[in-house]
Amino acid sequence: MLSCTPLIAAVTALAVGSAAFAQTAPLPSDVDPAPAVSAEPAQPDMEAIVQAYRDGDYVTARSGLAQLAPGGTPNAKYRYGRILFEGLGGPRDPAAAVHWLQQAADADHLEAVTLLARLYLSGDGVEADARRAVSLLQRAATQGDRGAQYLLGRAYQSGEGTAQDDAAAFNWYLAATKQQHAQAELALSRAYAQGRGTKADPQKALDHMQSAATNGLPEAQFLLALNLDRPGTEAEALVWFRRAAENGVPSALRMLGTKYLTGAGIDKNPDEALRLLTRAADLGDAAAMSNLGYAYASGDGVAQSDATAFDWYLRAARGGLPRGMLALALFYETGRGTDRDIGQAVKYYTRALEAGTDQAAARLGRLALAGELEGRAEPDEMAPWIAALAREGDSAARAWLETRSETGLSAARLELASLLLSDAETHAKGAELLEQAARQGDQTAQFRLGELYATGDTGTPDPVKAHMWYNIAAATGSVRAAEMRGIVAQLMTAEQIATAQELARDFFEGGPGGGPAAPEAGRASE
Amino acid sequence: MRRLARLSLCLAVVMSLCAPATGQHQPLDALLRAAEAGETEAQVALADRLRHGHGVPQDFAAAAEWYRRAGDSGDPVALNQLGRMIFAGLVRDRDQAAALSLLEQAAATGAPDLLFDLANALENADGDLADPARAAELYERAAGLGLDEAAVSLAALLIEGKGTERDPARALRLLEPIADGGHAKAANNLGLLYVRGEGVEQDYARAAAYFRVAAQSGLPEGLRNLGVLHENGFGVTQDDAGAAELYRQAASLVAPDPATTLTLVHDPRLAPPPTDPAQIARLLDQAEAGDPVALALAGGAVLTQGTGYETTSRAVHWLRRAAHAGHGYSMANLGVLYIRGNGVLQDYVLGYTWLSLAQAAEVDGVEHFLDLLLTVLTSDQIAEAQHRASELWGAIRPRMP
Repeated sequence: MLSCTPLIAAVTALAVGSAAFAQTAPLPSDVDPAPAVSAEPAQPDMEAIVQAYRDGDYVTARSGLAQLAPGGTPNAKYRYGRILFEGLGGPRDPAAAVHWLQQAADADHLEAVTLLARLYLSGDGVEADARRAVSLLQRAATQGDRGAQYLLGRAYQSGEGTAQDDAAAFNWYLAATKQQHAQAELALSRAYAQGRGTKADPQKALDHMQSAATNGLPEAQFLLALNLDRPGTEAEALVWFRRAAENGVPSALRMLGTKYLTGAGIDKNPDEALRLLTRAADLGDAAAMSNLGYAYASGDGVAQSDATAFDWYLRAARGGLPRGMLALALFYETGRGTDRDIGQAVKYYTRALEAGTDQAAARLGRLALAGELEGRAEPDEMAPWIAALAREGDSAARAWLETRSETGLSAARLELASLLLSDAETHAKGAELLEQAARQGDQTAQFRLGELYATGDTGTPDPVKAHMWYNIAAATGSVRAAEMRGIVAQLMTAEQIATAQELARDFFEGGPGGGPAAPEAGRASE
Repeated sequence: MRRLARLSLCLAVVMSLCAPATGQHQPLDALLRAAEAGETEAQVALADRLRHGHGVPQDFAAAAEWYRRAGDSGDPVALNQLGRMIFAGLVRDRDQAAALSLLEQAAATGAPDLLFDLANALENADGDLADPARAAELYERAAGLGLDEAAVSLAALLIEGKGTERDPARALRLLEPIADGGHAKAANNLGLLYVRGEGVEQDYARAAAYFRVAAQSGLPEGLRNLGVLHENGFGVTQDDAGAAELYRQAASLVAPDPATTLTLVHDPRLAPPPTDPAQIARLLDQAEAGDPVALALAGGAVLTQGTGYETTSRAVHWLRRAAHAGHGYSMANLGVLYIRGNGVLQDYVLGYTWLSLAQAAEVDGVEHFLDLLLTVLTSDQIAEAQHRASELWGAIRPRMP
């Protein structure tokens, strides 16, 4: 049985950052929460319809609007278009919505203009046309529609449908903020924080975030909580984490739950922790799933259960969380909460590695050295994993690379070369090894050697040799090498290019310092 | 005026007068015999053929040698051509003083185009050899003899006040009739005078009209200047997108990168290559069996299957075989792929070698590629390529139809 120590090391990292927040669905608050209640003289029918809508009797509201809209007021057409767009009281019908909104917009109904612009932006029920959307938004925004002002700010910020213009974006966010548009206020806060379109002003950034949070925008509440979550203002942060969590922000639920679990700045409360984390997990927050896995694995405040921990890690891994994949792979490798299954362990280590979790490579390396990967991976696949282990100082891993390099495993030679290059003392040896592999026709080595010369890691950059090796690698099909050849060529004189090409030709023709016979396509000689 | 500082005067007037293509249709061996017998006219004709690579691979060294022999007998055209080749660095030793002396001897005849070439060299020579004052005088003489190109160059010197007193009003008078005849550089420089209000009242609309004439002829300065007016909305409607497009066009015409701009050519005498995989497979079988038409089509047919390395390198294989079998268009395409480094090692020398062989095989459109490459290759690379081409020519020529 392998030691479990690394497991704890891998799972102690609980998710706290805000990165996961970006993955949650955008909050639909760029729409006002309820359709505007008309200021127009209400027809008797319309009043009943509005009441039905408020009562949630959308079927009645919809059929009433369907009758009123043709030949009705612009407001009736707008409402009908809107309910078709929302798909309340019947199927969603964005194409028909466009029709009615267009009619209301033609009569200068501002909310209709804004909603129509949104449909043109998203290409919902109509062919997407950002320019048209922007021109509609300009119309509604200049007449004071705050939703349009906010969306126009976004268009200027992204440059979608108009020329990108941070200053204009800022001004429209400001206009919408003055009319209590919470999303716009959050955008304004970001503009102040980043100094986009205005002078950076951290205090104003915080004030506006606070105001947007106070106005009930869950995203702002969460961001404010993150902002305040530091010594001195933790209590305030907790208040806002709670508000955001109550409003269903998954990251807030997770962070609050994790605080209760670990007792960070708050009395430990495992029951509350489980409740909050489970809720976040139910909303699809993979980091919360992973944290639940940690809770059950460690038995910290809950009844320790490897099986339950395993289930949560499995969900987190399937939810695409690299940390979850790594923990799951460790469970499979060590047979915790499930049967030992090296095949599954390799699968999830590999996925974690692809997702950028570098620790997985050394774990795979350890398995490879232990002979556990026979029949599961080829030696050239194992080489980078064993190299990762060697980078952690494992001498057996390094010895494996040296032996395999000498016996001609090119992947091992490349990894060994990188390892040697990363250390100033052995740098020259690494370069020599790479050059040797390159001269023997290893395309990857040729490319890396090109990089080495281009970046000047060897001392001073040598564009001639960089061009030469990129050109040689490109001649046997390396697309990246061909691109890099073009890039270094821009910094070279005609004489340097001539020399580089001559060296490359010699390489294939077996001239001075020449290499092996070139493949047909790489052949330079006639 | 946000960006008017970027308006550009077109100063670099290239030596654009072409050598007369005499002797182009005489058999080469007859020409060679006559040249060796000391006939000056034959020597010049032979040198022209070698310089441009018509029916024989380009060979600048040999061309220079024949011009030299004709020049020794005092032939002004030969002296002029040799001087221009040396001045442009087309022969290994770029000795500007020697070039100027040759151009000087040629210009002694007083022919306007020979005067112009000398003036141009004097204007553009390096360091102490440059003599703008004398260039202005010579342009004046050549312009007086009716050479528009000389008047345009003189006007540029008058606008800049280089080698002569600054006199935009006179420049304007010189340029106006030539520009109205559609001369691109004249139109561009005249447009500039209207923008600056020099020698004439400022008039953006007229400036734009003249820049447009220059732009339509593909003059990069004209395109850029028209772009500046569009960007600022001077004399034309303000149009950022239009301006950007003009800048882009201008940039692509200034120092184009042959590695990305050279395009493949198709032999107009052949049907378009098949694109159906089964037909291509049959075609390659026929090519393998020695069918010359199939061989000529093979490379192009493979290239229709994609642009990736694997496809291109297979095409290179077939193009190489067809080129060695004497098919000119395959030589050209092989050359293009060498220049681009597409499916094969990027090698300007071998690219130029095959392109000049294609030119010798009378393939249309290749001369332009060669001219473009002259600005990118070193003179050593050109000499090496021409040497390789003449060696290959001996083997390939007998196989050509």
